Amino acid sequence: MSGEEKHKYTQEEKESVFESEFLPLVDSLYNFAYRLTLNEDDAKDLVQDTYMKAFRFIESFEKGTNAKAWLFRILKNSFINEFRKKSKEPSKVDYHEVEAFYNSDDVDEAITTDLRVETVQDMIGDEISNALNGLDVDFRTVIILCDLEGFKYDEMAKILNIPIGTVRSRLHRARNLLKEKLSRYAKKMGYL
Amino acid sequence: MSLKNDTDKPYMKQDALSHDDCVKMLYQVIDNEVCPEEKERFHEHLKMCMPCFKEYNLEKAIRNMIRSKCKKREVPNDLVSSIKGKISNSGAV
Repeated sequence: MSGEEKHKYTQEEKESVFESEFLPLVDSLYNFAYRLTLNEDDAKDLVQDTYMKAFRFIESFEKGTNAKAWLFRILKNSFINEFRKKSKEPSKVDYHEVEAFYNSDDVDEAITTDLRVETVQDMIGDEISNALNGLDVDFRTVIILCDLEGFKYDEMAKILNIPIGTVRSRLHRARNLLKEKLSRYAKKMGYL
Repeated sequence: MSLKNDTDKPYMKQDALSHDDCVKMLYQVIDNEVCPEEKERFHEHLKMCMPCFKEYNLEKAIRNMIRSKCKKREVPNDLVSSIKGKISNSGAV
């Protein structure tokens, strides 16, 4: 967080920002953490860690600006730096391969599935949730940020520290993968 | 004929957006990341293009399902108090 403008707060102001702007976001942060880690204890640790860092670096936060985006960025960075490193398990996919794929030119191709609106509407929450959780974490993350948390592309670019064009292409790829998963699932269950 | 008249031809509006452009724009329209003019051109295209129209409706349905069916998890009861505790233990508050 170096290089960012510092804002001087008195101890009282720090506490007030923390109480009134940061703590009310615990619900969104916990849900984001859970969807990243898919584990309750890890999600709790990640949220605690995020709040500790937020307090320590509170002078990098400008009062009245987007606290949610700021905290989501801290949480996402903590997840990458600590949780991913901690897990000895190698990434299930070759990251570079994936990166090359979703940055390639054919990312805008239309994936046509035989999925229909009615089929999607008949699915239950668990089916949608499982399909989403089954996506690689980078793809899952953009869908969570955009569709569940309602962040704009420019906010997502800041949270994820990637160019806005990459936000767009990653989101595109993520949604196509999700659609493929839902379609496969629907076929398996005989919905299609 | 002046250039101005050329661009003002009524059919230009319909020709303005190709199918490929439309596919590229679909998510940006759904995510409300386009200006009103682009959105209008997109919807003009949808009136004439069944594949795009179907795809748009399917994508909208998936978004709505994600929003309404991915249920929120309850925050554990002790989380906020534990955060407050950690902050005051660190001597910060």
